[in-house]
Amino acid sequence: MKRIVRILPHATIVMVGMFMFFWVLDILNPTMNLINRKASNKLMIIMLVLALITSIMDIYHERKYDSLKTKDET
Amino acid sequence: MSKNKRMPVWGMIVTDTLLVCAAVGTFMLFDYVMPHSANTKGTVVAEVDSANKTSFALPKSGEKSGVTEDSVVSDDSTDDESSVSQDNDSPANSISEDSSRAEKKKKEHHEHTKENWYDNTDTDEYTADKNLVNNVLNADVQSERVVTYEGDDAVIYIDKKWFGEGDDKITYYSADIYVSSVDVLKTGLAKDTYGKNIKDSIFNMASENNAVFAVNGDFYGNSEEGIVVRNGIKYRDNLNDVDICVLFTNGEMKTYTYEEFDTEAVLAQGVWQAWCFGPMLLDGKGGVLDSFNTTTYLNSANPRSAIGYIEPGHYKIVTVDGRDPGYSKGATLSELAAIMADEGCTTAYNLDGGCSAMMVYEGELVNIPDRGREISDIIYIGG
Repeated sequence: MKRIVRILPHATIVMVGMFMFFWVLDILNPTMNLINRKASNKLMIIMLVLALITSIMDIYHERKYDSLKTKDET
Repeated sequence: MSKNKRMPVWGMIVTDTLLVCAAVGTFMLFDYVMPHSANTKGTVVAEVDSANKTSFALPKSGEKSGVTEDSVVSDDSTDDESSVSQDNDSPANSISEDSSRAEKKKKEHHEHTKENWYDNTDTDEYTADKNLVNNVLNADVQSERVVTYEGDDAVIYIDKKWFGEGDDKITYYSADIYVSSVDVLKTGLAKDTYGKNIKDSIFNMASENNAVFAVNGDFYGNSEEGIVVRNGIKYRDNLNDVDICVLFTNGEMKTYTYEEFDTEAVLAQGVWQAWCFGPMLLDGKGGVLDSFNTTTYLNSANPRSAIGYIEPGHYKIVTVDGRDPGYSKGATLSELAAIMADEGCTTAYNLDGGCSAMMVYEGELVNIPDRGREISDIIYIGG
């Protein structure tokens, strides 16, 4: 589980990097139409799920850290 | 000492960057390179048979294309020996000369091609460059006939034309095509199969279809969107945001923006061919459009192919060589539009270009492409 938690942000970074690359190529050559491909749409859903999980994890860890910090102070 | 030794930040950045590259490479390999047959035979949307065929008159034997003589060869150029039309030369001789030149060019293939890649600084993203258009329209175009084909169903005159000096020189091949009926102007698919990334060489496709003359098409297989109608068979009709060119069964050719294209209404008129690449270049009356549906990157000087319409049964296909300063720098869309207008076309449409821009006559290259590449479709005469 810990390993998965560590890998998730990197997977998100990889997916975001891919879409940034597609976006630049589409600007240069719109006929490539990389972002609107069927496979890209599936990748986009994966990216959204990863981003969502990563964000939730980040919020969870931040809140946990804050509560631990508050406990330590008291 | 900690068991879970953390990777340094720079290592993490490098690893993630490499992973992005690997992911993009894998995606491109599977989705952009590997062929996927669509397993569809398409829907017949138009048929050209003896009952509904519109026949067009072919020019008589030895009669030259009036457009070529009147509007392209300048007064100056008629005095020039190099511009004298060479009808007497056999096509094979002319083409073999060009082939040897192509080989020579390949050997010394310049690295300077990339210097020209963005050489279109005066052109706005969507606006036609009036200076470039006027330069072409006022150019001293010289020409040399390289092919004369007079068949029962089609007459083809291919002229090699050039203008400009030094690194600004543009060389192109203009095929003046007369057909007896629209079904003589055919399209062929790579491996005779419709699908994504299915590619073949123009020579194989020309040979498989017994084509006398062939030129690259719109590379429909590179995209999942855009209307594709080939020889009256509709393979897909989902639109993207590119201009569309339609050849109707009555021999007329029209270009549309994607906004004005009403698929059902257009298909009802009898569509023989529909291409989705573009942009369209002329306004339907022979004038260069004020703006093109393209990007700065695609608008730069490159090898080009374009199809033009003069009247039903009379078409022009032009292939501009490029990326080879001194021989031909290639054409921007403004220049290509001006060339098509100069050729006497009322409607013209840009086909796939770059390495795809190839013209073949009787199995041999007519132009000198930039390396050449496998493509998904051709436009051809014969078979």
